[in-house]
Amino acid sequence: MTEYLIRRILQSVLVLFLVSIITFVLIHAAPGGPTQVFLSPGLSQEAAQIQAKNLGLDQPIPVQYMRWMGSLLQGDLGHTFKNNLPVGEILWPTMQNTLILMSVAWLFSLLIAIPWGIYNSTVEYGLSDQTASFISYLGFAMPTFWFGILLQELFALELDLLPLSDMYTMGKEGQIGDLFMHLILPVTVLTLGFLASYVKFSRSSMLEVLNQDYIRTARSKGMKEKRVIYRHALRNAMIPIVTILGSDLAILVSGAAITENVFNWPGMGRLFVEMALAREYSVLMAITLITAVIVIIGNLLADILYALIDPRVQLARKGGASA
Amino acid sequence: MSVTKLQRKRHKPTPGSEPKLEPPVERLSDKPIGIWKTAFKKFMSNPFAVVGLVVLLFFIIIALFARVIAPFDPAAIDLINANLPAGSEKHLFGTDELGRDVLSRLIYSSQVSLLVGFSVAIITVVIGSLIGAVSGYFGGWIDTFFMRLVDVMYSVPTLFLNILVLSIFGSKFSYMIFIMASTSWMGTARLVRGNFLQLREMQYVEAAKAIGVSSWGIIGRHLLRNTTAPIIVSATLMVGGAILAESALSYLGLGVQAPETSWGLMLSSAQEFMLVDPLQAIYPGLCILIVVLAVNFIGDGIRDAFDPSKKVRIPRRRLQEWRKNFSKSGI
Amino acid sequence: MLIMVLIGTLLSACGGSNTATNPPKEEPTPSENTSQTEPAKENTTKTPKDGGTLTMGTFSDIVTVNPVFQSDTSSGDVSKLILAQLYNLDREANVVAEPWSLAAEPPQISEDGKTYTVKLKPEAKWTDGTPVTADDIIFTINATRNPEVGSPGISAYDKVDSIEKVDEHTAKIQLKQVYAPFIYSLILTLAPSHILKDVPPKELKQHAYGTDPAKTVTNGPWKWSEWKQKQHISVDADPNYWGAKKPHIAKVIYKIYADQNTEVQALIKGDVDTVSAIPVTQLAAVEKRDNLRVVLAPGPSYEYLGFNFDPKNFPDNFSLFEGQKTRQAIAHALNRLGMVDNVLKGTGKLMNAPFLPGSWADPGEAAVNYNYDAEKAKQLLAEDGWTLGSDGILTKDGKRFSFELQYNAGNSRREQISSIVQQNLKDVGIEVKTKGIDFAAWVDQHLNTGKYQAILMAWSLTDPDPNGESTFSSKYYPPAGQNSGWYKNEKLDELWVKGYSVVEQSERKKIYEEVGKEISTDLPYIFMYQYGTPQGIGPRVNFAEEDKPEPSLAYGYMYRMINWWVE
Repeated sequence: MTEYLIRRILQSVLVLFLVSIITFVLIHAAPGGPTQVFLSPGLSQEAAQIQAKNLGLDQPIPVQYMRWMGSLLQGDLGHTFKNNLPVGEILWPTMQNTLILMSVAWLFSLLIAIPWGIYNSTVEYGLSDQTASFISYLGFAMPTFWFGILLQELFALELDLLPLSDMYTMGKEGQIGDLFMHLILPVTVLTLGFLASYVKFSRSSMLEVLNQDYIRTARSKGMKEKRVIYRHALRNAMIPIVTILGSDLAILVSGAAITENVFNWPGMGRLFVEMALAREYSVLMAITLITAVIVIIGNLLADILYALIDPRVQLARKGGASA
Repeated sequence: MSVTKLQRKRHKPTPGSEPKLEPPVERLSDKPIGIWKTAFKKFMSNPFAVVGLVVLLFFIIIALFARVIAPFDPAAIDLINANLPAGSEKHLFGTDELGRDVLSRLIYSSQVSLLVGFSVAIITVVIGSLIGAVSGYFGGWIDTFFMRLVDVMYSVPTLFLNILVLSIFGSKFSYMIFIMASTSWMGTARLVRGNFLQLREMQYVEAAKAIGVSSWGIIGRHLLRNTTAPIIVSATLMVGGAILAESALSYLGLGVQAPETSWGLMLSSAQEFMLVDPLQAIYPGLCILIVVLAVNFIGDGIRDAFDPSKKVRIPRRRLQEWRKNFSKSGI
Repeated sequence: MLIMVLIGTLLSACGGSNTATNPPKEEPTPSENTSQTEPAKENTTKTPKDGGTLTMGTFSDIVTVNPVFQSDTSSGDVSKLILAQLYNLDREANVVAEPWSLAAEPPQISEDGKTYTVKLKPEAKWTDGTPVTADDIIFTINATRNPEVGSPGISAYDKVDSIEKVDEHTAKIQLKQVYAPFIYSLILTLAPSHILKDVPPKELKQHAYGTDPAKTVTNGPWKWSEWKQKQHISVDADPNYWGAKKPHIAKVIYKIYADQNTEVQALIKGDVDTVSAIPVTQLAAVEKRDNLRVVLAPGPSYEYLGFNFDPKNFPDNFSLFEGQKTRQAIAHALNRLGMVDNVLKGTGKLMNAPFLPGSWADPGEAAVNYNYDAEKAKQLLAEDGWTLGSDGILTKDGKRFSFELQYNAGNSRREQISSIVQQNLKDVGIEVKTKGIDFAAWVDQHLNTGKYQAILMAWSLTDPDPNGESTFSSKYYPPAGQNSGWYKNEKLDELWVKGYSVVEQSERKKIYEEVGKEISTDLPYIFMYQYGTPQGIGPRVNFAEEDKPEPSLAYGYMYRMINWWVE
């Protein structure tokens, strides 16, 4: 177990390193590069050169990368070009806001999806199952922003029941009640997306378990159905569900860029879009890297959980081809 | 074992991807022809899949014959007849703010949207199968390299990568197709690789090797052919995913650019239209919804058709018992 | 130098300074174009109330309010609230010392036109109690023009030779040459010398002044209390404000939305009280609501179709726009009046030269007007050697007349205009391929490098001076200059210099008449129209008639906001 863990962690570090190189090069390979971006057209060549030098942009890309990496390792995410704000200062609050939105949506959908999916596995093709299936098809096929805009139009503008956008009403910052009202619409949009996959998933993993030999054996031994389901089936069906949650952790920070834009939610996804258009490369690098870290940790957790729950998995197996 | 594990873990609720419990491929591979026939029969007996197919064909025909079908030139401006409501004489779906015929624009948009969907799916499948096949067949450092690459690609959210590239390099149509494909091949690659890992140990591969068939010959002729079904399924689902991704990028202003038109682009001003003429925001959204639904129905239909486990049904009586127990326990 | 600005989706804006004062004898009356649509409430007779909160909507966050570095519109908006300007513009665009200006009186210009003397109000002080002095003026201008500092406003002061302190409240600015537009460079906000003077020039940009509310001392009616990044900025009326006239509104919130559409929705919903730019496509939706007022008028910006004269941008190095007659034909082929009527919906006005209609420099009849006349266009094209090919497209020397017209994506107005251009030119046998490009990428890859065939763009004139040397003179080629189309016309090059080398306005007017004639004949651009962005105002906002927004001025949507009140 320890050996496996160490190897997986080393792998993850390697992957992170590669991610940082790839994004850095991608960004700096852009025509014009960062230099052109913030230098205003009125600036003379000479003044432009002085500025590029001050910011270290006249150095070759590998040197710039080393510098960036160096300060990153000291916990410095860099500063914005345009106004020299520390990137962390911009990033952390938005990350928090995204976490609030996403975790509410995520927990809410899990609370609905897992019991529903499991129930549906026992009444395959019943009304409830068909409904779930309908919802998940819808969730997969509907452009999220369109759904969001439809909800806004109906509930915020026409009926005037819910706030249109933002996280808080101005002057009510930090009030839970107000936050709750603002959460309803975006959470609805996100939940549809989550439900689409989770209901189906928990249903099918339960179904799979129910068709396993050992369940049949349990039944044939005359065990009570309830006991079969709770003792054996449910527990085993949770295995794939738990692991999927681990690898979906990443969605908590990245999954809502579009929804955040529609609802003007001050989160990381919206920040990313805005910063991409404004070419604030240090912020983009930071967001990419942070999401990569979270994705990788999520996957690592998933693997470990998987190992803990399911004793049949041998961790030391060769070619654990996953990260 | 390792394959199924991967597939479970890799599932993400991105549009188009579904929890896939792939059929163990050995069962597919022994008699391909019979399988295809039964699969076809099964597919045709699935009403959703058939409806999906009909709808998709309908849209494809519209896209192919847009020139003939569209009542107006989609770019023709008629400022005098701008913002006509739906049901106007001559303009069935009304006109937009420049007096362009909305119906004609919808029809022409289907070309671009379907083009995006299919080309991304095809490129993805080609890249993914190649990488997966090479990794799975050769193994060793090639495999390690590609699988690390897969890890890297998976650890940056697709949407972020798309936004990054399109905003920095400019949102050209070709860039969009390229970046969408190069951020979505990983699933196919893993799937193909997994199947290859199993398949290459099988006897007929040994036999082919023995009679001197080259590695590429084996990959192309024997192995890829035997992984066709799951590849088709994932490609189909990819079409829908790409259409949705294009609409999201267009919403952010990074997708298809005017004067080109796509449903996504038409929708990108939905927020604007909501205040002026909500119906204009509804049509393109519905088109996307319907086409993606159709494609997903087809994909599911194909998957079920090839999935032998579907035959297993739990007896009704037992289901009812379970249900009783569940309702008692208050779930 | 006149500072002009690209208007993009992000409404990037002007350099640090904008205002001016030639006390002009003849009154230009830009407000006569101002048609105010004000359905519903007429509040002008009510008495102002103190207190309350006003929320302004925007769609991009501020960058910095440090006057040395401030260059975007959002930061400009917030600066106007918290920093007093040295001078202000009145409704007719004259440079004046208002009660809320830092200056005590209009600037005194020496006989030779090279020395400007500025006198400050002795009572003006910063929020930390330090008086505003001549040192602040000297520091701000010197920092801005120092290349080590990297200020975007550097070109505004490149004609300055030296600045000296006469006494605590008086500064004297010496120019290298006579440069009439300089007066508008005096409409600046000041940076506090007592805070920043010891910061090395290189590190000035890193200083927290301008980005950290706690470290930003100000001298305006409101003081900066909070900046929640990407969400809002709030400012509160300063109880110790030095001015005799105090602001009525207790708190102003500057709220940031993801885009213009969400901003307009918020206006309709009542979440914000004023929005400075409603997309014309949504105008109808806003006008429909009885409680909202819309200010519709052409603003200080104009749109143009710009040609590229560098043959390297065309296949076989064959520049399509070489012939003057060809350009004139294109001007005749475009239905500009139709665009103004149908797309701009009351916010536009035709123009034929780069001078705002109605301003003192407007050459009026002297500039050539090209009416919509497809037949005339065809005739001119034929005279210039173009013949109709079999595919309906003109050809010359075997080259088809087909070009790419670029504009910034996401700007619905420009998208519409480009489609109309495409159709108009198709009618005379010219093929146009329109292409929308994301704004930032466009500026980087095409405008700053001068690589395109033709563009549809706009200039925003952040100060009212007519000088356009930096956009049309061959001295200003890319990448350093703004003449991105590589236009060269020696006569114009000279005229621009002549135009700013005299101070007397009547003399200048004659020169600009000549410029207008030459430029409208030679057509480096097709000048399309002056246009404005409709401002939406919610029911809570009140102002007296003399304090209403002035769309013809830059930042006119918050004109005299110190006198507004909310209910």
